[in-house]
Amino acid sequence: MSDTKNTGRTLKPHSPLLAKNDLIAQQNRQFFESKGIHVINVLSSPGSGKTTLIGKILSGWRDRHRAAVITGDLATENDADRLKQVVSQVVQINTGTACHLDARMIAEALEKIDFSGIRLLFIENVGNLVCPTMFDLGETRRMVVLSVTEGEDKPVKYPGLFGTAQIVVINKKDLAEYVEFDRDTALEGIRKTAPNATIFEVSAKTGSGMNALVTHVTGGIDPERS
Amino acid sequence: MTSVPAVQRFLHIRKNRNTLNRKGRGGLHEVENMHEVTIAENLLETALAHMRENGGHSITRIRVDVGHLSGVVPEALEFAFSCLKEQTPAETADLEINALVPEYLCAGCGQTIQPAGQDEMIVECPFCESRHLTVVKGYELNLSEMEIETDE
Repeated sequence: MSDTKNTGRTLKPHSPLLAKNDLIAQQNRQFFESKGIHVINVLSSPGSGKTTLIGKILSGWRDRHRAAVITGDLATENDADRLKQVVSQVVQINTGTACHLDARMIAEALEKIDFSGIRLLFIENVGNLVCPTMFDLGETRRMVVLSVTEGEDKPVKYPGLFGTAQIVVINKKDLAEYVEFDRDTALEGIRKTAPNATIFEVSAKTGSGMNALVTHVTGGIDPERS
Repeated sequence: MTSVPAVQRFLHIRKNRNTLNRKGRGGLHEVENMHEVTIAENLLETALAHMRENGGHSITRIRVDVGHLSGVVPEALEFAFSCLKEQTPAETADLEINALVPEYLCAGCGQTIQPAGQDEMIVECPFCESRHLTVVKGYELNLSEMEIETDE
Protein backbone atom coordinates (compact mmCIF):
# COMPACT_ATOMS: atom_id res chain seq x y z
CA MET A 1 0.00 0.00 0.00
CA SER A 2 2.95 2.36 0.55
CA ASP A 3 3.33 2.94 -3.20
CA THR A 4 -0.28 3.92 -3.67
CA LYS A 5 -1.15 7.53 -3.34
CA ASN A 6 -4.36 7.73 -1.37
CA THR A 7 -6.88 10.49 -1.63
CA GLY A 8 -9.60 10.97 0.95
CA ARG A 9 -13.14 11.80 -0.06
CA THR A 10 -16.18 12.62 2.02
CA LEU A 11 -19.56 11.20 1.03
CA LYS A 12 -22.91 12.26 2.46
CA PRO A 13 -25.23 9.40 1.56
CA HIS A 14 -27.98 9.91 4.17
CA SER A 15 -28.98 6.27 3.66
CA PRO A 16 -31.56 4.79 6.01
CA LEU A 17 -30.04 1.75 7.71
CA LEU A 18 -33.21 -0.28 7.50
CA ALA A 19 -33.82 0.51 3.83
CA LYS A 20 -34.04 -3.19 2.97
CA ASN A 21 -36.64 -3.88 5.64
CA ASP A 22 -38.55 -0.72 4.69
CA LEU A 23 -38.65 -1.84 1.05
CA ILE A 24 -40.11 -5.27 1.89
CA ALA A 25 -42.53 -3.65 4.35
CA GLN A 26 -43.69 -1.38 1.54
CA GLN A 27 -44.27 -4.40 -0.70
CA ASN A 28 -46.25 -6.07 2.10
CA ARG A 29 -48.29 -2.88 2.51
CA GLN A 30 -49.06 -2.73 -1.21
CA PHE A 31 -50.18 -6.35 -1.10
CA PHE A 32 -52.48 -5.67 1.87
CA GLU A 33 -53.92 -2.54 0.26
CA SER A 34 -54.55 -4.29 -3.05
CA LYS A 35 -56.52 -6.99 -1.23
CA GLY A 36 -58.28 -4.59 1.13
CA ILE A 37 -56.80 -6.17 4.24
CA HIS A 38 -56.52 -4.20 7.48
CA VAL A 39 -53.38 -5.23 9.37
CA ILE A 40 -52.72 -4.66 13.06
CA ASN A 41 -49.24 -5.14 14.50
CA VAL A 42 -49.66 -6.00 18.20
CA LEU A 43 -46.75 -5.13 20.49
CA SER A 44 -46.12 -5.47 24.21
CA SER A 45 -43.87 -6.90 26.91
CA PRO A 46 -43.96 -10.68 27.34
CA GLY A 47 -46.94 -11.82 29.39
CA SER A 48 -49.18 -8.80 28.87
CA GLY A 49 -51.87 -11.02 27.36
CA LYS A 50 -51.53 -10.37 23.62
CA THR A 51 -52.74 -13.80 22.59
CA THR A 52 -55.82 -13.71 24.82
CA LEU A 53 -56.58 -10.17 23.74
CA ILE A 54 -56.40 -11.00 20.03
CA GLY A 55 -58.56 -14.08 20.63
CA LYS A 56 -61.15 -12.04 22.50
CA ILE A 57 -61.26 -9.23 19.93
CA LEU A 58 -61.88 -11.81 17.22
CA SER A 59 -64.48 -13.70 19.28
CA GLY A 60 -66.36 -10.43 19.52
CA TRP A 61 -66.32 -9.81 15.78
CA ARG A 62 -69.27 -11.17 13.83
CA ASP A 63 -67.14 -11.59 10.68
CA ARG A 64 -64.29 -13.38 12.40
CA HIS A 65 -64.15 -16.00 9.64
CA ARG A 66 -62.62 -13.14 7.63
CA ALA A 67 -59.62 -12.84 9.97
CA ALA A 68 -56.20 -14.46 10.11
CA VAL A 69 -53.38 -14.27 12.66
CA ILE A 70 -49.62 -14.40 12.25
CA THR A 71 -47.92 -14.94 15.56
CA GLY A 72 -44.26 -14.68 16.43
CA ASP A 73 -44.85 -15.37 20.07
CA LEU A 74 -46.65 -18.57 20.93
CA ALA A 75 -45.39 -19.96 24.18
CA THR A 76 -47.67 -22.94 24.50
CA GLU A 77 -49.94 -25.14 22.45
CA ASN A 78 -52.84 -23.86 24.56
CA ASP A 79 -52.42 -20.42 23.05
CA ALA A 80 -52.39 -21.77 19.51
CA ASP A 81 -55.44 -23.91 20.19
CA ARG A 82 -57.28 -21.00 21.73
CA LEU A 83 -56.63 -18.85 18.66
CA LYS A 84 -57.54 -21.69 16.33
CA GLN A 85 -60.90 -22.04 18.03
CA VAL A 86 -61.67 -18.51 16.93
CA VAL A 87 -59.99 -18.26 13.52
CA SER A 88 -59.08 -21.03 11.15
CA GLN A 89 -55.88 -19.50 9.83
CA VAL A 90 -53.15 -19.09 12.41
CA VAL A 91 -49.58 -19.01 11.13
CA GLN A 92 -46.78 -19.28 13.62
CA ILE A 93 -43.43 -17.78 12.71
CA ASN A 94 -40.62 -19.80 14.12
CA THR A 95 -38.45 -17.05 15.56
CA GLY A 96 -36.75 -19.05 18.27
CA THR A 97 -36.23 -16.32 20.82
CA ALA A 98 -35.70 -13.49 18.34
CA CYS A 99 -36.25 -10.00 19.67
CA HIS A 100 -38.51 -8.76 16.87
CA LEU A 101 -40.32 -9.69 13.68
CA ASP A 102 -39.10 -8.18 10.42
CA ALA A 103 -40.81 -7.51 7.11
CA ARG A 104 -39.21 -10.49 5.39
CA MET A 105 -40.56 -12.92 7.99
CA ILE A 106 -44.03 -11.50 7.33
CA ALA A 107 -43.59 -11.73 3.54
CA GLU A 108 -42.73 -15.42 3.96
CA ALA A 109 -45.63 -16.06 6.33
CA LEU A 110 -48.07 -14.47 3.87
CA GLU A 111 -47.45 -17.35 1.47
CA LYS A 112 -48.98 -19.71 4.01
CA ILE A 113 -52.30 -17.86 4.24
CA ASP A 114 -55.27 -18.20 1.93
CA PHE A 115 -56.38 -14.59 1.67
CA SER A 116 -59.66 -15.15 -0.16
CA GLY A 117 -62.27 -13.34 1.90
CA ILE A 118 -59.77 -12.19 4.54
CA ARG A 119 -60.24 -8.60 5.68
CA LEU A 120 -58.34 -8.42 8.95
CA LEU A 121 -54.90 -9.69 9.85
CA PHE A 122 -53.41 -9.56 13.32
CA ILE A 123 -49.65 -9.82 13.64
CA GLU A 124 -48.66 -10.76 17.16
CA ASN A 125 -45.12 -9.47 17.51
CA VAL A 126 -42.44 -10.85 19.82
CA GLY A 127 -42.86 -9.69 23.43
CA ASN A 128 -40.45 -6.76 23.52
CA LEU A 129 -40.83 -3.00 23.94
CA VAL A 130 -37.57 -1.90 22.31
CA CYS A 131 -36.34 -3.95 19.39
CA PRO A 132 -39.48 -3.95 17.19
CA THR A 133 -39.72 -0.12 17.22
CA MET A 134 -37.99 0.52 13.90
CA PHE A 135 -39.08 -2.62 12.05
CA ASP A 136 -42.01 -1.71 9.85
CA LEU A 137 -43.91 -4.85 8.80
CA GLY A 138 -46.30 -3.13 6.40
CA GLU A 139 -49.08 -2.89 8.99
CA THR A 140 -52.01 -0.47 8.83
CA ARG A 141 -51.95 0.28 12.54
CA ARG A 142 -49.90 -0.50 15.62
CA MET A 143 -51.54 -1.59 18.84
CA VAL A 144 -49.41 -1.47 21.98
CA VAL A 145 -50.65 -3.45 24.98
CA LEU A 146 -49.76 -2.64 28.56
CA SER A 147 -51.02 -4.79 31.42
CA VAL A 148 -51.64 -3.33 34.87
CA THR A 149 -49.31 -5.88 36.46
CA GLU A 150 -46.34 -4.36 34.63
CA GLY A 151 -46.67 -1.03 36.41
CA GLU A 152 -47.87 2.38 35.36
CA ASP A 153 -44.50 3.76 34.28
CA LYS A 154 -44.00 1.53 31.20
CA PRO A 155 -45.00 4.20 28.64
CA VAL A 156 -42.46 6.77 29.85
CA LYS A 157 -39.79 4.09 30.10
CA TYR A 158 -40.35 3.04 26.49
CA PRO A 159 -41.41 6.26 24.71
CA GLY A 160 -40.01 5.14 21.35
CA LEU A 161 -42.33 2.19 20.92
CA PHE A 162 -45.38 3.83 22.52
CA GLY A 163 -44.86 6.80 20.19
CA THR A 164 -45.52 4.58 17.17
CA ALA A 165 -48.93 3.37 18.44
CA GLN A 166 -52.31 4.32 17.04
CA ILE A 167 -54.04 2.18 19.65
CA VAL A 168 -52.93 1.63 23.25
CA VAL A 169 -54.69 -1.00 25.34
CA ILE A 170 -54.41 -1.22 29.12
CA ASN A 171 -55.16 -4.88 29.80
CA LYS A 172 -55.95 -6.95 32.93
CA LYS A 173 -57.82 -4.07 34.52
CA ASP A 174 -59.60 -6.61 36.74
CA LEU A 175 -56.28 -6.95 38.60
CA ALA A 176 -55.64 -3.21 38.97
CA GLU A 177 -56.72 -2.94 42.60
CA TYR A 178 -54.62 -5.92 43.70
CA VAL A 179 -51.41 -4.55 42.22
CA GLU A 180 -52.16 -0.93 43.22
CA PHE A 181 -52.01 0.20 39.62
CA ASP A 182 -51.85 3.99 39.38
CA ARG A 183 -54.27 4.59 36.54
CA ASP A 184 -53.82 8.38 36.31
CA THR A 185 -50.04 8.08 35.99
CA ALA A 186 -50.41 5.42 33.30
CA LEU A 187 -52.90 7.48 31.29
CA GLU A 188 -50.74 10.60 31.56
CA GLY A 189 -47.71 8.59 30.43
CA ILE A 190 -49.59 7.25 27.43
CA ARG A 191 -50.87 10.70 26.47
CA LYS A 192 -47.32 12.04 26.66
CA THR A 193 -45.67 9.29 24.69
CA ALA A 194 -48.47 8.42 22.27
CA PRO A 195 -50.43 11.67 21.91
CA ASN A 196 -52.35 10.49 18.84
CA ALA A 197 -53.30 7.04 20.10
CA THR A 198 -56.79 5.95 21.11
CA ILE A 199 -56.68 4.44 24.59
CA PHE A 200 -58.77 1.47 25.79
CA GLU A 201 -58.93 -0.03 29.27
CA VAL A 202 -60.01 -3.66 29.22
CA SER A 203 -59.87 -7.04 30.83
CA ALA A 204 -59.59 -9.58 28.03
CA LYS A 205 -60.26 -12.25 30.66
CA THR A 206 -63.56 -10.91 32.02
CA GLY A 207 -64.54 -9.14 28.80
CA SER A 208 -64.88 -5.79 30.51
CA GLY A 209 -64.32 -2.87 28.12
CA MET A 210 -63.90 -5.21 25.15
CA ASN A 211 -66.92 -4.09 23.13
CA ALA A 212 -65.53 -0.61 22.51
CA LEU A 213 -62.18 -2.05 21.48
CA VAL A 214 -63.77 -4.56 19.09
CA THR A 215 -65.85 -1.80 17.50
CA HIS A 216 -62.81 0.44 17.14
CA VAL A 217 -60.61 -2.25 15.61
CA THR A 218 -63.17 -3.71 13.22
CA GLY A 219 -65.34 -0.65 12.67
CA GLY A 220 -63.98 0.48 9.30
CA ILE A 221 -63.81 -2.99 7.79
CA ASP A 222 -66.25 -3.80 5.03
CA PRO A 223 -66.57 -7.60 4.98
CA GLU A 224 -68.25 -7.65 1.59
CA ARG A 225 -65.53 -5.86 -0.33
CA SER A 226 -63.96 -8.23 -2.79
CA MET B 1 -33.36 -5.84 26.29
CA THR B 2 -30.12 -5.78 24.35
CA SER B 3 -26.92 -5.77 26.32
CA VAL B 4 -23.37 -5.45 25.12
CA PRO B 5 -22.25 -8.82 26.56
CA ALA B 6 -25.00 -10.49 24.52
CA VAL B 7 -23.71 -8.88 21.34
CA GLN B 8 -20.20 -9.87 22.30
CA ARG B 9 -21.33 -13.45 22.77
CA PHE B 10 -23.11 -13.37 19.44
CA LEU B 11 -20.06 -12.14 17.59
CA HIS B 12 -17.89 -14.73 19.18
CA ILE B 13 -20.39 -17.36 18.14
CA ARG B 14 -20.65 -15.91 14.67
CA LYS B 15 -16.91 -16.10 14.14
CA ASN B 16 -16.96 -19.69 15.20
CA ARG B 17 -20.14 -20.56 13.39
CA ASN B 18 -18.55 -22.97 10.97
CA THR B 19 -16.95 -24.86 13.80
CA LEU B 20 -20.22 -24.83 15.68
CA ASN B 21 -22.13 -26.05 12.64
CA ARG B 22 -19.74 -28.90 12.21
CA LYS B 23 -20.29 -29.83 15.82
CA GLY B 24 -24.01 -29.63 15.20
CA ARG B 25 -24.78 -27.19 17.99
CA GLY B 26 -27.83 -25.00 17.99
CA GLY B 27 -29.83 -22.70 20.19
CA LEU B 28 -28.07 -19.52 19.10
CA HIS B 29 -31.21 -17.65 18.10
CA GLU B 30 -31.21 -15.33 21.04
CA VAL B 31 -27.92 -13.66 20.28
CA GLU B 32 -28.18 -14.14 16.56
CA ASN B 33 -31.21 -11.90 16.44
CA MET B 34 -30.12 -8.90 18.48
CA HIS B 35 -31.42 -6.06 16.40
CA GLU B 36 -28.25 -3.94 16.71
CA VAL B 37 -26.39 -6.73 14.93
CA THR B 38 -28.88 -6.65 12.05
CA ILE B 39 -28.50 -2.88 11.91
CA ALA B 40 -24.68 -3.06 12.06
CA GLU B 41 -24.72 -5.58 9.18
CA ASN B 42 -26.93 -3.25 7.14
CA LEU B 43 -24.64 -0.33 7.99
CA LEU B 44 -21.54 -2.18 6.82
CA GLU B 45 -23.22 -3.39 3.65
CA THR B 46 -24.55 0.09 2.80
CA ALA B 47 -21.23 1.79 3.51
CA LEU B 48 -19.28 -0.70 1.37
CA ALA B 49 -21.75 -0.22 -1.49
CA HIS B 50 -21.26 3.55 -1.37
CA MET B 51 -17.50 3.08 -1.23
CA ARG B 52 -17.50 0.88 -4.34
CA GLU B 53 -19.87 3.17 -6.26
CA ASN B 54 -17.48 6.03 -5.63
CA GLY B 55 -14.34 4.15 -6.61
CA GLY B 56 -12.95 3.83 -3.09
CA HIS B 57 -10.83 1.03 -1.71
CA SER B 58 -11.26 1.64 2.00
CA ILE B 59 -13.39 3.50 4.51
CA THR B 60 -11.80 5.59 7.24
CA ARG B 61 -14.78 7.14 8.97
CA ILE B 62 -18.52 6.51 9.22
CA ARG B 63 -21.06 8.76 10.90
CA VAL B 64 -24.54 7.51 11.76
CA ASP B 65 -27.54 9.38 13.09
CA VAL B 66 -29.28 7.48 15.89
CA GLY B 67 -32.48 9.00 17.21
CA HIS B 68 -33.18 8.57 20.90
CA LEU B 69 -36.56 6.99 20.14
CA SER B 70 -35.22 4.40 17.67
CA GLY B 71 -34.68 1.69 20.27
CA VAL B 72 -31.06 1.29 19.23
CA VAL B 73 -28.44 1.20 21.98
CA PRO B 74 -25.40 3.12 20.63
CA GLU B 75 -22.87 1.04 22.59
CA ALA B 76 -24.33 -2.21 21.25
CA LEU B 77 -24.27 -0.87 17.69
CA GLU B 78 -20.68 0.30 18.11
CA PHE B 79 -19.58 -3.04 19.45
CA ALA B 80 -21.35 -5.06 16.77
CA PHE B 81 -19.88 -2.86 14.06
CA SER B 82 -16.35 -3.04 15.47
CA CYS B 83 -16.43 -6.82 15.18
CA LEU B 84 -18.21 -7.06 11.85
CA LYS B 85 -15.84 -4.64 10.08
CA GLU B 86 -12.83 -6.90 10.61
CA GLN B 87 -11.26 -8.13 7.38
CA THR B 88 -13.35 -5.77 5.27
CA PRO B 89 -12.33 -2.48 3.58
CA ALA B 90 -13.97 -0.78 6.56
CA GLU B 91 -11.54 -2.41 8.99
CA THR B 92 -9.94 0.85 10.09
CA ALA B 93 -13.13 2.91 9.94
CA ASP B 94 -14.04 4.94 13.01
CA LEU B 95 -17.71 4.86 13.80
CA GLU B 96 -19.15 8.13 15.06
CA ILE B 97 -22.63 8.00 16.52
CA ASN B 98 -24.58 11.20 16.32
CA ALA B 99 -27.22 10.74 19.02
CA LEU B 100 -30.28 12.86 18.27
CA VAL B 101 -32.67 14.09 20.93
CA PRO B 102 -36.37 14.13 20.09
CA GLU B 103 -37.94 17.22 18.58
CA TYR B 104 -41.64 18.03 18.34
CA LEU B 105 -43.63 20.25 16.00
CA CYS B 106 -46.67 22.03 17.39
CA ALA B 107 -49.69 22.02 15.08
CA GLY B 108 -51.15 24.93 17.03
CA CYS B 109 -48.43 27.54 16.57
CA GLY B 110 -45.89 25.90 14.28
CA GLN B 111 -43.07 26.09 16.84
CA THR B 112 -40.43 23.39 17.06
CA ILE B 113 -39.89 22.21 20.62
CA GLN B 114 -36.98 20.33 22.12
CA PRO B 115 -37.23 18.85 25.60
CA ALA B 116 -34.60 19.91 28.12
CA GLY B 117 -33.28 16.39 28.68
CA GLN B 118 -33.44 13.48 26.26
CA ASP B 119 -35.54 11.44 28.65
CA GLU B 120 -38.04 14.21 29.10
CA MET B 121 -41.28 14.19 27.22
CA ILE B 122 -43.46 17.06 26.18
CA VAL B 123 -47.21 16.74 26.27
CA GLU B 124 -48.18 20.36 25.83
CA CYS B 125 -46.71 23.16 23.73
CA PRO B 126 -44.96 25.62 26.09
CA PHE B 127 -45.86 28.49 23.74
CA CYS B 128 -49.56 27.97 22.94
CA GLU B 129 -50.55 25.06 25.24
CA SER B 130 -51.76 23.01 22.29
CA ARG B 131 -51.59 19.22 22.73
CA HIS B 132 -51.31 18.53 19.01
CA LEU B 133 -47.65 17.68 18.83
CA THR B 134 -45.89 15.48 16.31
CA VAL B 135 -42.47 13.96 16.66
CA VAL B 136 -40.27 15.33 13.87
CA LYS B 137 -36.96 14.02 15.16
CA GLY B 138 -35.98 11.04 17.28
CA TYR B 139 -36.56 8.01 15.03
CA GLU B 140 -33.48 8.53 12.82
CA LEU B 141 -31.33 5.60 11.82
CA ASN B 142 -29.18 6.80 8.92
CA LEU B 143 -25.70 6.56 7.51
CA SER B 144 -25.21 10.31 7.23
CA GLU B 145 -21.57 10.77 6.30
CA MET B 146 -18.49 8.73 5.51
CA GLU B 147 -14.92 9.16 4.37
CA ILE B 148 -13.34 6.88 1.82
CA GLU B 149 -9.86 6.47 0.38
CA THR B 150 -9.44 6.35 -3.39
CA ASP B 151 -6.34 5.74 -5.53
CA GLU B 152 -5.97 9.18 -7.01
